[in-house]
Amino acid sequence: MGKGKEIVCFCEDVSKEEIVKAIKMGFKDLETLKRFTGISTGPCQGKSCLFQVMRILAQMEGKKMEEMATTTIRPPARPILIGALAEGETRAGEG
Amino acid sequence: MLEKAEVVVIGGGVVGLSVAYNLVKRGVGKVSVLERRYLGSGASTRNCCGIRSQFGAEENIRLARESKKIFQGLTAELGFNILHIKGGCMMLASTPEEAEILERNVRLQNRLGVNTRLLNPGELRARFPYLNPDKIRAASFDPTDSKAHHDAVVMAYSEACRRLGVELNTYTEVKGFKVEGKAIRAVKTSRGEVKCSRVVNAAGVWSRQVARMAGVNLPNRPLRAEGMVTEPFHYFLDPTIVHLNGPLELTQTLRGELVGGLADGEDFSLNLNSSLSFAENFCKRAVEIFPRLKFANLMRQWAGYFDVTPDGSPVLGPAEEVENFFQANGFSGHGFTLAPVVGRLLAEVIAKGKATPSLEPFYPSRFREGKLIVENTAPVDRLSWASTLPEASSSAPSR
Ligand SMILES: Cc1cc2nc3c(=O)[nH]c(=O)nc-3n(C[C@H](O)[C@H](O)[C@H](O)COP(=O)(O)OP(=O)(O)OC[C@H]3O[C@@H](n4cnc5c(N)ncnc54)[C@H](O)[C@@H]3O)c2cc1C
Repeated sequence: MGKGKEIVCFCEDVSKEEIVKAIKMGFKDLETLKRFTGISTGPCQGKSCLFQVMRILAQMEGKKMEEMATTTIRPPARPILIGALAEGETRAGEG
Repeated sequence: MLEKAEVVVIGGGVVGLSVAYNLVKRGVGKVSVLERRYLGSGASTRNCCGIRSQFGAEENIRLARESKKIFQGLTAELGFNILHIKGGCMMLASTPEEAEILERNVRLQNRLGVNTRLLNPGELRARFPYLNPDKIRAASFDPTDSKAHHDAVVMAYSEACRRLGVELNTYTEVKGFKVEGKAIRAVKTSRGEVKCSRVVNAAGVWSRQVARMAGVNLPNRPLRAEGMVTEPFHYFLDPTIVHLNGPLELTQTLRGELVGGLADGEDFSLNLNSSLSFAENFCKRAVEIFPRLKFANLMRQWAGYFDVTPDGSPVLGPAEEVENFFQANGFSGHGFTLAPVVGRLLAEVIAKGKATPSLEPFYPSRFREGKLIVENTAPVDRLSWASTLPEASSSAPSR
């Protein structure tokens, strides 16, 4: 296999190289790194990329993974149709 | 962290960063920004990206008009793409009272040279076919209003600050002040003390708490406002849509996602957890106005606050009780629009030491003097002023 781009975030098409570059520019906070690169803002909402990015950041900052905090996890857990929310259907089953 | 700075700016949101950037650009000396969390962690990355001069008070229209001019050249000025687009802003009204506000505001805006227009039902349908005409009594449109990506604007200012040598201290919380006579001499933080000759309070909805630590009373109150974003779509929605009831806002960013928000009720908890009730209220109201939204997926939601003043206009300028303590808060839901111009004007006042005419009406002293700048598009009437504001309650505007 040839040397290609190493993709970290598939939803937003962000490569490892771009993450490293952003961290070098000064985006060393996971929250601002997310906003600068767009990682974790696509359909998976970070479920496949966030930990990879945290590992890169931890390595470059000389930290352990245990010392890293994730970004604020924002609802919903998976995308919901606005029409369903408008009808109150997401509460089905509640008293 | 610096031991001494010429100016300390409290709050690393779009307003604090714009003030800091303009201060170093003017060469006032060392500027230090103190931010409790990360840059943009407050309302600045939680808003709906709308930039408009469709206001009801002359002073606000003038300020916003200047800000719109700055936004146009901001990508070039800061060397960072803020994803700015002049898509216009459409303000919507459903009740007769709301319609009257729009009509009155359009007349005033036209008199001041802003080309806002009321759209008749036929025009509305032809130009904005995705809106439900049954729910709209009046609509005003200004094609020169615009939008920019809120994250990009925060990053553009913070990167420019970094380049120009502003000290950006994140995870640094202001805990108190050393006040001597009518002046702050030092700011006490979770990471030590900074001596300074001037301080700017740009702490957003937390400004009232920060001011109180210096013995300054601000009349600002917190109004909870939440936001949401959908999956990205092919770009189709140019204007920012603002419904006066709420306000409820909706637009599309150049990244393709639809961004929306709704101001809810008074809430002193200042907690930033988003709620299911917001998602339901917002979606119900948004689908009424914009039916085809029901086919979009909501991807992410968040909570934020408006920092609302008794007249719905910002508090800008030196505090009466402590003269080297400059306020840049109380934006009442319009701080994204106003940040560029406020940064410039406040830096000017701080550097020159004397007032500029366009800023002076916004001084904190106006509440005591009863010279209110009544902004009828701000959600002032959703708050319970009477209980805590004996001196201003009689003059508090209602809409
Ligand atoms: C849902 C929603 C939609 C909106 N839509 C629009 C819109 O379309 N157009 C528009 O113009 N405006 C809009 N706004 C309003 C706009 O977002 C705000 O007016 C603006 O972001 C205010 O910026 P700021 O920098 O003053 O405040 P913030 O961004 O809140 O920044 C204040 C900062 O101060 C920090 N801080 C607080 N206390 C301390 C302390 N003790 N020590 C150190 N730091 C501290 C906070 O952490 C925060 O980062 C909206 C707001 C919301 C919530």
